This record gives sequence, structure tokens and C-alpha cells, in this order.
Amino acid sequence: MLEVHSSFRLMGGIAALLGKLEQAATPHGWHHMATAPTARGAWALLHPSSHTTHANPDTLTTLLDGLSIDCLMAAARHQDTLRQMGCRTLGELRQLPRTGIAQRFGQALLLELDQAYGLQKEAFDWLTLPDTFEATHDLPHPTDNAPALLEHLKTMLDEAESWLRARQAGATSMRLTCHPEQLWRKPGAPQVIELHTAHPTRSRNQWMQLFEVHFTQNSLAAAAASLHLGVQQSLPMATESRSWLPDPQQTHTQLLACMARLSARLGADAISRAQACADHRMERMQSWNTSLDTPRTRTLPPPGQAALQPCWLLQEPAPLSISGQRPQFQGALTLLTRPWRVETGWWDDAKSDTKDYFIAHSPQAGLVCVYRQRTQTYAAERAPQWFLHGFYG
Amino acid sequence: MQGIGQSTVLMYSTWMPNDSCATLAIDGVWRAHTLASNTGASLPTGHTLLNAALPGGGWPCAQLTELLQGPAGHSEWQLLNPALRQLNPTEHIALVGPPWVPHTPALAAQGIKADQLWWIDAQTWRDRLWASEQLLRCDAVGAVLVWLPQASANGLRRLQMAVQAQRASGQRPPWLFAMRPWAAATDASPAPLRIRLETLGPAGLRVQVIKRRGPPLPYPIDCPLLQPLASLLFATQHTHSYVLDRTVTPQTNASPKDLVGI
Repeated sequence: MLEVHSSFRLMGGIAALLGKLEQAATPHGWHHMATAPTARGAWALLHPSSHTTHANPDTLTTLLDGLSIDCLMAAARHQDTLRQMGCRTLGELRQLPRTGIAQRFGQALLLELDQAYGLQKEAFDWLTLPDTFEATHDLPHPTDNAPALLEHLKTMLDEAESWLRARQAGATSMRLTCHPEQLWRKPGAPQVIELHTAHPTRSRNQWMQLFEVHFTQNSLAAAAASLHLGVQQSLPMATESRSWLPDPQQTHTQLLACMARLSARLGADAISRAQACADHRMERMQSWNTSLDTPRTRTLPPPGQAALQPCWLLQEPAPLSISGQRPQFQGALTLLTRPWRVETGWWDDAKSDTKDYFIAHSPQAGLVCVYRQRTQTYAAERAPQWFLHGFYG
Repeated sequence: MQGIGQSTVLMYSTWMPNDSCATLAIDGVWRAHTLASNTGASLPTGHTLLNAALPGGGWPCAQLTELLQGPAGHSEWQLLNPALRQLNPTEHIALVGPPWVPHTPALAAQGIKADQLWWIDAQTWRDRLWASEQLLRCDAVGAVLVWLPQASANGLRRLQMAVQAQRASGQRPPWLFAMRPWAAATDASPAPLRIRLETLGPAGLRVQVIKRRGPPLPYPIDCPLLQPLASLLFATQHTHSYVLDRTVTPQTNASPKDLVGI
């Protein structure tokens, strides 16, 4: 029973609304629909003896008058008595004296008659949804064909979606039990498939995709004769409201969802963003964060220095071999600048030594950033070591 | 004759079109003896000679562009920075499988902000192709740079189809650059633009356009180094510079604060 008066304007009139309802209800097997200004009147119009299923406020009385008395539930109980009195239709019933009807058949019949004709108000309890969702669907014949199973699953997922939508929730875990045919000699065990999602999802298409992926990779042990779907866990889910203008927040959310998808497949450490740190050591000027949404702190280095730094850094500086007092990296390196000394971080790293940075040119590798490291120990005098730290371009 | 791809090629014949046909411009059709024009936006490369050599006058959007580099190849930023800094600060640049760590202060000095960069560390080439496809579908991603030391032809074709599909979406389509080794030059590739890079050290970069929508370009193009590295190295080549001899008063164009520490 649907009360649709308040939806006429939104849906564009009664005809459009009825068309949409028919479209939505027919796949679920609901074929008969009646409309009337009163609920009991509409119920009465569904009776086979009525010629039409739609009643306007002005035609309601005449239509109901022509219906037989077993349209109304209270009158149907007394229909033998009423027929013996010669009263076959609701119109004739109305012409009987009201006090007599009340005495003979009870106030309930009078109340129902008045409510059907719109003379008394009627009140119903709103439909409350159960706390858990369970749906069973019996298949016409046992099958383990994936497309056929998905077709039957589609109707159940539709119901699950409407249940979740009414509760403003999304499901994070669903369980599908496939019961095989119960044969006398070989009782089969039901097969349970559980699927989980990271975010609460209510869309039927998304759940269908997950089940499809599962069915392509796994096969059923036995042909299923009935399917039982249950929502294991549901969480409140807020839907996004649409806006007329392109929403920058929406593109940001879309980007974060894309990165979440990438990290689901590549690993949580695979996606990172840079955060600037105030440090003179090149390898510590930035830290790469793997958490997707972090507040950014702005510390910009002086522009002169940064422009002369290489665009690519090695993870660990690579030691260079020396031949003829010149460091070698894919050829002999030619130093193009004078040294730029970085001497810091003694509080962080006990092994941090003085580094003299140079921009050098290698015949095959192009412009590289190398440094010469001097150890601070007085005990042993070693030749300075050369390291490759980065590439330009 | 509409083929599977987006554009149609007219076969070059001995009959030369007359002037009225030369001015006829149909979207999606290009004559083999002229440069094609891009159906989408083009990003100017920052090097005038290279702009003239590329169809559309710049890097094509919603197309796969291949950059082939040598074994020590690391010249991508040098080539792409003038173009990438023209993207909006809100558009993100995704680096899929870069060989080394990107140094964001240096990139920030060249105009690419650290907020825009995403480093996606995918190990296998299949993962990199899949990650690139996912990133291309995001509206917020303006450019994707993917490093593919090896890739199958099918994978590249799929990537090209994925980026072309973005042209139909409402937002501005992203730019896609794939970095591959020199050995891939002999392999067939679905990319409409293929460029071979060779580094010349202080002199800059040698760019050879192997494949483009237009007549083949037999000579390479030399692109000079980016500023201010170029001015610094120019200063070091000459005497009487602040860099080499501190007793001489600075008379060159390079200001002292550019050369701090040197």
C-alpha cells in the first residue's frame, strides 16, 4: 500500500508516477495495481469484478457502488447473510439502514464502508524494515552456470539495495549460501561465499561485479538449487548531494579513491607524496609520506640553491671509483663548478661527514651531482671518497 | 574511410593537391605530406624548434607519447619541465615507477610544485600499465609519466586506447608520457609520437623525432639546457667570472645570489 499523493508534483503527474511504478514493480512479479483516493477503495478495485483499477475522487462512489460485497474484508465475512437479504453490491449495502447494519453486523463493517467511500479517515502503521536482511530464492532447476546464478542474484541484490537505502546504510560484508539439491541418498552440504568491501557499498551493480569476479575465479562444488543472501555487516553511509557546478571536493575525493584502489593492488607503501623539510642535506630536504591525506607544511628553500640541485636523487649515494685522481662514472668526470660544502646533521647522524658537492659532466651520463666526503677522524688519514648523488634532467 | 583509430590517412600519390585543397581542413584527416593538427589541446614544449617539429605545435593531449632514452637516460625533466609547469597547480602529475627519487625542491624551483607530484612505486610493467590506466581516468590528474623498460605491444595499445577514451570526457584530457629504452625504437608501437633523446651534457639535449603524424624528420633537434643551470655553466666556461676567480669583481650577468655557495 503506497501513499503517493505528495509525490505527484515531483514525479510529473499521476500518469508518469504510475508508469514508473509499473516499470519498477513488474520485474519483481507485481502485475496488478489500483489507485483510488482511499486505501480501502483501491483495495476494493483490485477485485476481479471491477472493470477499472483507477478511480478519481468524483468517480469513486459510482465505481464502488457497482462492486460486489466481498471486496471489503468485513463485509465478506457476512456475505451469505447479505446475499440472502438480496444485497449483492456495495451500493445496495449502503442503502440499508445504518443502525440495523451496526446492530446485526457490527460497527467494524460500517467503519470500513465509510472509510472506503472516503467519509471516515483511515490510518495504517508504517512499514518497518527488519533489522537484518535475509532473502531466499529458489531456482527453477539446479544450476552451476555463473550467468544464470547472477541473474537470480540480481533480484536479491535489488532487494538488498532497497533495504540498505531505506536504512541509509551500506553493506561491507555479504554472505551467499548456495544450497544444492537435497537428494535422498546424497545430502549435499551448502556452499558459503562471503565477500567483503573496504567501503560501505549499497549499489547493486558494484556487488554484482564482485560476485562476477568471484564466480569467474571459483567454481561451485555442486549445482545450486536455492540461493540465500544475507547482509552480514552494514555501516551507515552518507550519500553525496549533487551540485550544479563542478565540485573541486568531488574531484579530490575521486583522486583519493583512485589512489586507494592503486594502493589496494600495489601495496600500502606504493603511493607517496613529498613533504618539504627544512634541512640542508639534499636527501633530507623532503620526506615521502605514504598516508594519502596529510596536511602540507610550506617550507621553501632559497631559490638559488634549489635551482642548482639535481632533479633525480639516488636512494643511496653510490661510491665512485677513482682513476688518475679523477672520479669515474661512465667515463671520466669533469668537474664544472667549485665545491659547495654541506656540513650539518652531526646531532642526527653520527656518521654524517663533510660533503663537498660538485656538478660534473660524464661523457655518457651527462650532468651529474657528485660529492667528495671527508671523514672527521684524526686517527686515520684516508683519501677522500667520491660519491654520486644525483642526476640533472 | 574511417578506420579503427581516430584519424584517417590519405595515401600520398603523384597527384599534388592544388591550393584550394591545401586549405581544406577536416577534423581527423591529415595528409601524409603535411603535419597533422591535434584534435585536442597541445602543450608547448618550451623549445621553439621542437614546437615546429611536432604536430599541433606541442605535446599532444590524450595520446601516448614515447620518449626513448639511453641506459643512463634521465633527461625527462629537462625536456618536459617547460611544458609541465604550464599545467594548473590543481592538476596533479603522477610518476609511475620512476627509476630514482624525484627531488622536489629542484622541481619546485623549475615550476612544478611538490603538492602536484605523486610517486607511485609499481615494480612490474603490468602493474605500471594498470596503474597508468587507473590514473588516466581521474579528472584531477593532469599528466602521467610512466617508466616502461619493457612492455608488450598489447599493453601499450591498451594504454593508448585508455588515454584516447579520455578525450570524450568533459574535463581536459590528461597528457601521457612513457619512458622506454633505445632498444624499443625498432619495436612497433601504437604511440602517435615517438622521440629519441640523447644527452649532450652542458650543451643540452639532442632530440630526434622518430615517428610523428607527418613527414619523417631526418635531422635531430638540439635543445639547450634549462635556466638557471645554463647560465651557471656558461659562466663557468669563461674566465673573469665570479665562480672561478673570487678576486675579480662580478661583471657577468649572473647575479651573486644565484651562485651562492659556489
